Amino acid sequence: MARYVAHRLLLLVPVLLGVAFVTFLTLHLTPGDPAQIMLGERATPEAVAALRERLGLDRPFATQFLRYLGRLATGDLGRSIQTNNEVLGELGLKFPATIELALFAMGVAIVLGVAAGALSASRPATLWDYLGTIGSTVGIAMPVFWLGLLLMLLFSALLGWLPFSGRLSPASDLQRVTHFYLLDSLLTGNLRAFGDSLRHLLLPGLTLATVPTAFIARMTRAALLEALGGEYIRTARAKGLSEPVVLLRHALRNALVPVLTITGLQFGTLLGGAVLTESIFAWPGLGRLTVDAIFARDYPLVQGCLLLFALTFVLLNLLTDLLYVRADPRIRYRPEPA
Amino acid sequence: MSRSTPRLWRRFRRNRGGVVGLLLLMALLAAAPLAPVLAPHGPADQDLLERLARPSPRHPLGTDDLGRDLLSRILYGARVSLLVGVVGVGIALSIGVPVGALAGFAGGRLDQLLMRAMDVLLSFPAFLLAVAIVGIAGPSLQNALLAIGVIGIPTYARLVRATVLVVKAEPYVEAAHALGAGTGRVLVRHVLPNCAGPLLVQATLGMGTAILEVAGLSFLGLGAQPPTPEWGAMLSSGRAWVLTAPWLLLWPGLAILLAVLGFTLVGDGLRDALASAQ
Repeated sequence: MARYVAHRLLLLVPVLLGVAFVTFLTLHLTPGDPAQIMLGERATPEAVAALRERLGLDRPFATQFLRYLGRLATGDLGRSIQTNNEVLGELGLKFPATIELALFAMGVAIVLGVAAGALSASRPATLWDYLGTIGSTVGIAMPVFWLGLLLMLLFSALLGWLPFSGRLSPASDLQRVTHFYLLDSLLTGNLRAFGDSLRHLLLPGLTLATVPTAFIARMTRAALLEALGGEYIRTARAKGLSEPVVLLRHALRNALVPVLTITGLQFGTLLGGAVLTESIFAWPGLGRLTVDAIFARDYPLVQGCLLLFALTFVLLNLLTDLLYVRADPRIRYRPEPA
Repeated sequence: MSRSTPRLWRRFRRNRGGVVGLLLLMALLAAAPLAPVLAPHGPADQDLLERLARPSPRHPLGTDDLGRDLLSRILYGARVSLLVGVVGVGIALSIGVPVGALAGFAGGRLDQLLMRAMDVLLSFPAFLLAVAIVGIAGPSLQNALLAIGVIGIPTYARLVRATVLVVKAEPYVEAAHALGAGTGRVLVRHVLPNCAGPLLVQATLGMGTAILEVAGLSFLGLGAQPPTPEWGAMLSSGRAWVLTAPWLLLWPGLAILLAVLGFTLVGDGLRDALASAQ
């Protein structure tokens, strides 16, 4: 296993180089001179020239890229044009908010998706099955930004049950430790803040969870139906095992690999969807930071966001692959002969 | 392919979801060219005395903050969405198919290089990459289409490459080569027919995704710009009036959902029909 992990990490190197290249390239997609665009029409030529030099835009393309890589290797992502703060610091402040939201949404999606899929598969061609199938089909096609607005209209504006936006009420006395607010409130024993942050998390979390829930439910149903047709299921039933035990201990275990695969793929949907969800619910995370940085033409910050999103996505995918080995002992990874 | 089309249709017809999807797509396909006939008003006509008007016989779905008829804007929006689906997938196909074919036929280092490049594209959460591309190239419908096209490339490239690798090993293709058929001829005569089904399914699903993604980009202010009647942009500007005119939120979102659902259901139906036709 350790060798496999090392091998996979090694394989990440060319991909990450490519990711860095794409991130680097985005700056060159600007129509015109990035320095001029960042500083605006009224900037003095001296200021533009100074920024060009600071960004290294006055050097040859290859040199620029190598310098960019060199800086990345030392963890230097440059400074934000707006605030002049280190990009790395800005990202660090927002990252926990996005991870908290994404993990919450993924948790919801796995629980609801597997439950709905199992319910459908255990009662094929019944009302429950039809409802599940229709629900997951609509969920996959759902524009989440619309759903978010409707949920906000219903639960915040009309019913007044849940807060409109943000991560905490302004009056909250939560002490920040890790910047994962659910965790912080538990660590400091502040149950009121825990409830408060959970209430804030609910609507954006459910919105973001919609599409992954639908995909997981669909895959769980299909994989379980296939597993339930197996000979060992007949054996298990013949042994007199109860139906829930057959379903959960025998069939679900064998349906786990396809479900894991689709779950891993949904991390992309989650991270991409975070951009929209965070914008709607004013969730102070990386997605909203990206959009704000784009409109402020703060390119170093945009590049930093893009890089961090890609890195997170790549590592989550690796994690999913490693989970396969745990889920199915028959899968044995060995490095391919080069 | 052509000889099996009636059989494909017979199998497709039995799929209830697919038929519902087809009806939705037909509605979209009809609304786009017929918008000038069906719409009670022009998409940009302002009736300043009837701003944020409730649904009425004059404005069946109400009006927006500039007094523009919502039904008319939604009907005209079908044109934008159809364009988005076709052009977005068109760009992805026209780059993805050659890349996949080249990688599959060439093999070796070129194959490695091209497919690693595809891996890199897949290393970004797709929608986020589109946001970044459009954000930097400049917000516009045109750039949004380009971005959606780019993020769709790897799917088609992988599909075509996989087919090439299978077909290349077939004895009849070796025979065709021996008879002097060039790579181009093998591609058109043997590879494309073998992946036409999966490509068709993928392209249909891809059009739904493209509509969803461009609506999302427009919602963020990065896609279609005012006064274009695009559904995502309409939702975004309707947000300001959520309490006074909730219909501004309801209808554009429903239009997006139904259009995407149409493509998804037809795509799934086609996949099932093709699978059972094997």
